[in-house]
Amino acid sequence: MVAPEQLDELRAAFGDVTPMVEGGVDFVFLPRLVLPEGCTPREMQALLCLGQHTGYTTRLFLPHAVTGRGANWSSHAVLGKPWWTWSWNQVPAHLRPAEILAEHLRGLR
Amino acid sequence: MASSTPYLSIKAQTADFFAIPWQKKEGGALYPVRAAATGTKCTQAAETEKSMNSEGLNQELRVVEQAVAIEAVELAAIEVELADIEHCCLHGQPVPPARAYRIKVDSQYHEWPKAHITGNQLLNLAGRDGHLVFEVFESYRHGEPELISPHAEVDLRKHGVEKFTTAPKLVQVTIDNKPKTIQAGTYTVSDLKRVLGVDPSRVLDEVVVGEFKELPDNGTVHVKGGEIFVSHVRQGQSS
Repeated sequence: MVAPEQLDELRAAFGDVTPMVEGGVDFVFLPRLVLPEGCTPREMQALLCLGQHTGYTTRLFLPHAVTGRGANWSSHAVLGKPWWTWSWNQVPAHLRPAEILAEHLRGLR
Repeated sequence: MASSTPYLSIKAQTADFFAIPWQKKEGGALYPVRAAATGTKCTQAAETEKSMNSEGLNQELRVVEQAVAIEAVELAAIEVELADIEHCCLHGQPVPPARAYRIKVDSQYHEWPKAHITGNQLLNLAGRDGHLVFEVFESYRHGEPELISPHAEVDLRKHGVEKFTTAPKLVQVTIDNKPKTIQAGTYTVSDLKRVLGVDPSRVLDEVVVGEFKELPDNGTVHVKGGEIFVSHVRQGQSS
C-alpha cells in the first residue's frame, strides 16, 4: 500500500492520482504526465508500477510507445488495459514513488 | 515711445508662443507647425488630427513648465544642505526640506539627493541587489518596522522614520516531500543542493505543472517560493 504522504507528494505534482493494486503489486495511475522535452507526444496518462514486474524492479507504463526515446518497447496488459513500456531497469522499489518516477523519466531523456 | 518704433510686447509674444502649435523636430527641438507652409495637400481629417496632437503637446508642455517652475521655487526656498533623518527622529524634530538627506541603511550612512526613495534604491544602497533577494524595512523610533515593497516610494521627511534595515526574503519550497525555508533568489544548481541539504551526487529535478525537469549542476534556478524539488540517485539503466 502506498503511504498517504507519498501519494500527496504525487498529487501536488500531477493532480488526482489514483493508487491501484494488481497481483499484490502497487501501482499509481497518473491522469496527466508531461514527458521530457523531445518526446512525442509530450503529454499522456501513465501507470507507475512500484514493485517487481516481468523481471524489472519497478516500471513506468505509458499508453503509447515514445518515438525515438527508450529502447525495446513492449506491450503489456495491466489492470485490464494495454500499456507500453521500455527496457529500463534497476530503479529500486524502496524509493519514494516520486523518486521512482523521476528515475524512469530520466530513461526518456 | 514713438509709434514708428518697432514694438514687441512680451505679453503678445508669450500669447503668440502658445497660440502656435508646436511639434517635436527630429533631434528633440521644438518648432512651430504651420500647415500652410508645408505645401502638402492634407485632408481635413488629417489636419484636425494634427491640430489635436499639437494641442495635446501644448497642454503637456504647459504642465511640464508649471511643474518645473514649482520645483524651482521649492528648491530656491530650501535652506538646509543635509537633513539627518536619524538625528531628527531621535530628537523628535520634523525632517526639514533639504538639498540632500542622510539616511542609515543597516549600519551604513548614505546621502540621498531627494526627499523620496524606492525600496529598490534602498536595497541598491545597501548592496543587496545581487542574486539573492532581500527585503527592506523602515524602522520607527516607536512601533514595528514596516516592509517597503521594491517599487514603493518612501517619504524621507515622514515623521518617525529612524533608519532602514534589510533582511533576506525567505520563502518556502518543498524538497523530497518536506517543506524547507530558504532565501528567494537565483542559485546555481550546486548551490541550491547545498542550501536544500541535498547530497551533491544526487540528481535534482524541479516539478513544474506535471513535468519533472532535471536541473544540471551548471544551470541556475530562480526560486520565488512554492517550488517543488525531487532529488534521486542515478540508478536506472537500460537493460
